[in-house]
Amino acid sequence: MVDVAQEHRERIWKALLRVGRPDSRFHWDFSSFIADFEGNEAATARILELDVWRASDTVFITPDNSTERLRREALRAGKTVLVTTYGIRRGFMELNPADVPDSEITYAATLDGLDTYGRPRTLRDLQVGTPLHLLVTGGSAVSSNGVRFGKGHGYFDLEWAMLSEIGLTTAQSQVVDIVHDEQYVDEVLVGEPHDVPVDWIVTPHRTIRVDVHRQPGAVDWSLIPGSEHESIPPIVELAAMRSAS
Amino acid sequence: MIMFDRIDRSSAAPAHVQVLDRLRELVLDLPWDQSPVIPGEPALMERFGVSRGTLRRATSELVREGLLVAERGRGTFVSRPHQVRLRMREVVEHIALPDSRWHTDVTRFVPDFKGSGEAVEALARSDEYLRSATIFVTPDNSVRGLIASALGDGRGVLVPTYGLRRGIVRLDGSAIDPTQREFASTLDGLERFGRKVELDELESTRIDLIVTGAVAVSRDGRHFGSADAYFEIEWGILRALGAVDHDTAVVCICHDRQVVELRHDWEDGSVSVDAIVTPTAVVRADGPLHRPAGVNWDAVTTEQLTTLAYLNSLRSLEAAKEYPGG
Repeated sequence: MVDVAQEHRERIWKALLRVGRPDSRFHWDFSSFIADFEGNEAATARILELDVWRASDTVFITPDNSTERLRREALRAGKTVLVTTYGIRRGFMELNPADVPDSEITYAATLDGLDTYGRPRTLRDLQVGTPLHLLVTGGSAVSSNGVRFGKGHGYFDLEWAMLSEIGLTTAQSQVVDIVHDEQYVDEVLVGEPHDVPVDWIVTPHRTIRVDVHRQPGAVDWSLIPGSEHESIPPIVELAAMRSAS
Repeated sequence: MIMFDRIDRSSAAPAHVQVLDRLRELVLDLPWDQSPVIPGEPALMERFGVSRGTLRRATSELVREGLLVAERGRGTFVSRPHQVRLRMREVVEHIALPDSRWHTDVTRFVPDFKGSGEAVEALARSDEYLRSATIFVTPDNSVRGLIASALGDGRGVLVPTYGLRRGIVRLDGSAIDPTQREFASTLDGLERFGRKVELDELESTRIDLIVTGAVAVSRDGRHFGSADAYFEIEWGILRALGAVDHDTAVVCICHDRQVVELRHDWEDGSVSVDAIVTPTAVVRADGPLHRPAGVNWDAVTTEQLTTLAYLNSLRSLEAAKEYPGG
């Protein structure tokens, strides 16, 4: 199964050299970031049509280049954007539309702009909020049954787990994966236990509803010690909350 | 102090590992203002209480890491850029504002710092800046403020993409809405507002001022970037194409704590800066002017040749000039 995923990954990286857009630091190193792609505008527009988008005042959106346009649309629509810093290294940030002048929305939606307009948010800050209806992530690949095989760092799965721990996700929360058609794999893949399958796959040409039954997650603490996730601030914070209770 | 340098024979750590730790510390601590040559083997063998073989194992490891350089006839000496980067890391981490991708990993980028705005303002009042029409600014976070102001006062701005991977781009202030200048000055903004400059366009460009950030800079004008020789390669390309000449003004913006007193070797192909601008002072560099006449091809790695923009084409151009018709 791992080999099948690896095979797809290599084909998809080749496709990304055609349809993907380079990053300001990582250029074409698609193992380091989730790329923006040709047709992103059409895919983003499909998300704007979802009922769950209209129903959300706050949306969690991953810090991928392919979700930059959606962060912009969220701010334009007056929605608050909850986002992580790249690699979650500096935890969560919040983009509040009230902080961002109209002319700065495009900038604020980029990762460089997030450092200017985002406000750092600890899990303690976040846990007083109402549960999220919608979480949107990018990915390097997704299967027909909604299993993402991303950069291999498992950031989104961890974000989902941490937000679940503080009650911000529920069984009703919906997860959208925005990808290029080349990143969609029409096969049923079996994920890992901590993988978060997605409810919607949105590409420039299709909106695919996946029938998943997902409960809020939990951080699998057996995977944390010695991993790259061990030192990220919200994990440190959660560990302290756990040992205090 | 010296007596603790002898290795601990009762320790579980092997002798060569202990020597490596001690030697690394000794090399990093070599004073800036003294010779970069490390003491001879007999002195070090006595100091650490080890055999020549054990010492050489440690020395060759540090040569492999790049911290030491061994040259026949000159002895073994510290690589100043390597030493400076390692020793300054703590200082730079302390003053650094994080980057959106690299966070506080200052081995990957030159960070912005509190007070850079004052330095930018001071630079914008200098003669070099006021006389300039086109400026070249390195993609360092600490000099972003200057890009934004240059866009505001009608200057042409050339900025290399990060690591020169996708060449140099031009920002046109007259085509960028005033509200977007700050955005345009970021690396993410370059993706949106920059237009790649091809090699032949660089050839017909005249740059009046180069501005760079730094990990550290010496009072006499030796600049140290975050990684090996990017600035030197950029200079070499511009110089070879005639976009800059021997006397083009080069100014470094940095934090006061990044200015060091350093005795160094100018024969390493580095490009000297004319002035250092910090939030509190403008320091005229008091050292000799060092302006290489082009790219030092011996210092360019095979990887750089294939991944950095312009280098391959430039080398073909130069080869064609050297062997016309050949």
